[in-house]
Amino acid sequence: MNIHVQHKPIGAVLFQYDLYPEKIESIGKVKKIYTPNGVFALKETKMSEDETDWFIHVIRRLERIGFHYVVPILPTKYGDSVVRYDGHVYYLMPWYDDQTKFKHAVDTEEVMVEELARLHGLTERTQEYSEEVLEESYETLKKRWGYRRLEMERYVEQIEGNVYLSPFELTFLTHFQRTIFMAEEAEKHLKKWMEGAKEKKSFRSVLCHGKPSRKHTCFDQYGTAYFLNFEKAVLDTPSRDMALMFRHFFQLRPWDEQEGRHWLQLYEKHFAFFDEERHLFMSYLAFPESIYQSVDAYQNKESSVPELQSVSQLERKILTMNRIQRFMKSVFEGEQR
Amino acid sequence: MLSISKIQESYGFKHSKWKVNGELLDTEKGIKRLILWSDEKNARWHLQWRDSLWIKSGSLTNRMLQTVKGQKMLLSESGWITLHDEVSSLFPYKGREKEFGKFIGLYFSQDLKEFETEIYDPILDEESLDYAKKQISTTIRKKEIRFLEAMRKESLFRLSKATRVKGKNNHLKEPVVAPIRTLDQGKIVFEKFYWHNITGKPERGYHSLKTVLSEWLQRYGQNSLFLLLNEIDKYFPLKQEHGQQLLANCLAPWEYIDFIDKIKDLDNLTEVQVWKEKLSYQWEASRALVQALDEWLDATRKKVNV
Repeated sequence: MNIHVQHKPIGAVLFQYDLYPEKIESIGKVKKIYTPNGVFALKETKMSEDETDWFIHVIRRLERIGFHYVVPILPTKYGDSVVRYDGHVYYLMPWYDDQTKFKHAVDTEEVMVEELARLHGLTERTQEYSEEVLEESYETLKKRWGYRRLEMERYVEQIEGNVYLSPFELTFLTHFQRTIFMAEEAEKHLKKWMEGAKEKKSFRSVLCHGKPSRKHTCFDQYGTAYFLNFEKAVLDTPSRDMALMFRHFFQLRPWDEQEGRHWLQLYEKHFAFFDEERHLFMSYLAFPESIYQSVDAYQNKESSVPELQSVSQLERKILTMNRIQRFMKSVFEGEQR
Repeated sequence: MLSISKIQESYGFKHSKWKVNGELLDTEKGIKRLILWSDEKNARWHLQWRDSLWIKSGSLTNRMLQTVKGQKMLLSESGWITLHDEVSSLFPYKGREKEFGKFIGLYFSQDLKEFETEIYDPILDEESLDYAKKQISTTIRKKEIRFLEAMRKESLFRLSKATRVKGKNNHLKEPVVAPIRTLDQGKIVFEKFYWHNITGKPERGYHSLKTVLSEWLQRYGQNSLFLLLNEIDKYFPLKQEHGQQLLANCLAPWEYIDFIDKIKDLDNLTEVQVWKEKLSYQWEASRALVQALDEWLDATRKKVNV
C-alpha cells in the first residue's frame, strides 16, 4: 500500500477496508482516497461509544426503512460499520462529487426540504404521552430563553452607560426592543405548542438529521440529493430539524416570506405538521438566538473579526429576524384574523 | 474444499490464485489465508473471540473476513471455512512493554459469555505423572530409568508446591483464552500491532500467559519483564488475584508431561537425547520465570522457594 508519511496513521484504518490508495487528499475531516477500485471518502470524527452505537443504529435503520437519499456507509472487510482507532472513529463512503450544475433546472433548497420531509415521514413515531415530559421540555426551553434575555438586558444596561457607543453596540441597541418582541413571540408559540399537545394528549418524534445543511448534502447531476453526516442525528420533534434547515437557508442567500411559505408548503406536502408542531417550529425560528450569539462573540472578542464585519454580520441577522417576523405573520395569518 | 472460483465470488475478489494450494490465496486485496475448521463450535467461538478482542483492545487481529453477503463462515464439502489476512512481518517488541502489556492484560481479562464449545482444561496431578511414565516404551524406560525417576521425583516436588500455592485461590474464575504458543504471533502492519490468533480450542488457565512471560524473559530480560507485568496488572490483576494462580501454573511440571508425550513412541536413544536437552532448557526457563515472578509479586504474599 502506497501511503505517504503524513497519512501513515490511517494506514491501519485503510487496511480494514483493503484499500490500496494511489493518492490521498485531505479535505477538512475527510480524506479523499483514490484507489484502482474507485474513489472513497474516509471521515474522521470523535464519538463516544454510545454515540457510535447510536450512529450505527441510525444508518442501519435508514437502510431498513428504505430511505435511499443517504450517502451509504461502506462496511470494513470484517463487516464493521465504523472503525474505532487511536481515539478516533472512522467511516468510509463512496466519493460522491457534489454537483452544482444539473441536467435540468433544480432548486436545491426545494429538493432538500422534500427529502427531509420524506425522512421524517418514514421515521415518524408517536411517543407515549407524558404531561410531565412535555412540561419539562417546555419549562427547560422557556428557562433557557429567559436566561438569554436577561443576559442581553444586562449587556444593554452596561452599554447604555457608555459615553460613546461602538457601531456594533449602537446597531444592537437600536434593534434590541425588536429582539425582545421576537423572544416574546417565540414564547407565545412555545406555549401554544404545549397547550396543543396537552389537548391532543400526544406528541410524535421523527429521526432528525440534526445538521441538515447544503454542506451535508450531495447532489447528483439529476438533482437528487443524498444526505450525509448523520453523526448528530436524534429522535426529536420534526419542528427542530425543519427550523435548523430553515436557519441554514436563511444564511445562504436573501429570501422572502413567500419563499419561506413555499418551502414550508413543500415540506407539508410530504409530511404535514400538526398545528402545535407548526407553532413549535415557529418558536424555534423566532427566538433571536443567532443575534444574541453575535453579541456573545463580540463581547468575548473570541475572534479577531474587524468591527465593520461584526456590524455587517449583525445587520444581516437583524434583516433575517425581520424576514422571520413577516414569514411568521404570513403563516399564521388566518389564525390571527 | 470450496473451489477458488467460489471463494473469489463469495468474497468479491476480482482475481485470485493459490499461492499455497488450499491455504494461501493471492488476491488483488493481498494474501489471504484459508482456514478449514473441523469443529464448527470452535470456529464460532474464535469468531466471537476475535471480534470481541478487537472491540476490547482496539488491536488488529486475524478476524474472519466477511463475504459480499455478510457471512463470516462458509460451509464447504470438507467443513466450515473462514478467510483471513496473512501478515508475516514480526512485531518488534523491544521497548514496547506498555503497548503489549495492555494488549495481553485485556486479552486475559476478556470474558466471553456462555459459549457451548469444548474448552481445553488440562489437569496435572500425581496420577497423571504416574500415568505418563507408564506410556514410555519398555526399552527407553529401562535405559533411562535413573533420569526418568529423578525427573518424576522433581516433578512431584514442583507439583506439591504448585498445589500449595494454588489452594489459596480455588474460588477464582480462571481466564478462558485463545491459546498462545509463541510471541511470534505478534505481527506488524502499517507500523501497528497485529495479533495472529491460532485456531486451537479455547484454553482455560494460565498456560498461554506463562508462554508469553517465559519467552519475554528470555528475550528481553527481567527488568523488561517487570515493566510488562506492571502493565498487564493494570488490566488483568496479577498482584491481587491471578498472580498466585499464574505462579502455580509456572511451578507445575508441564514440561515433564510434554517430554513424555514426545518420547513415548520413540525407541531411538539419540532422538530421546534431543528431547532431553529441550526439556532441560524448558525446565530452566520455568525456574527463571518462577524466580522472576516471585520477586515481582507482592511482598505480603508468602514467598515460594524455588
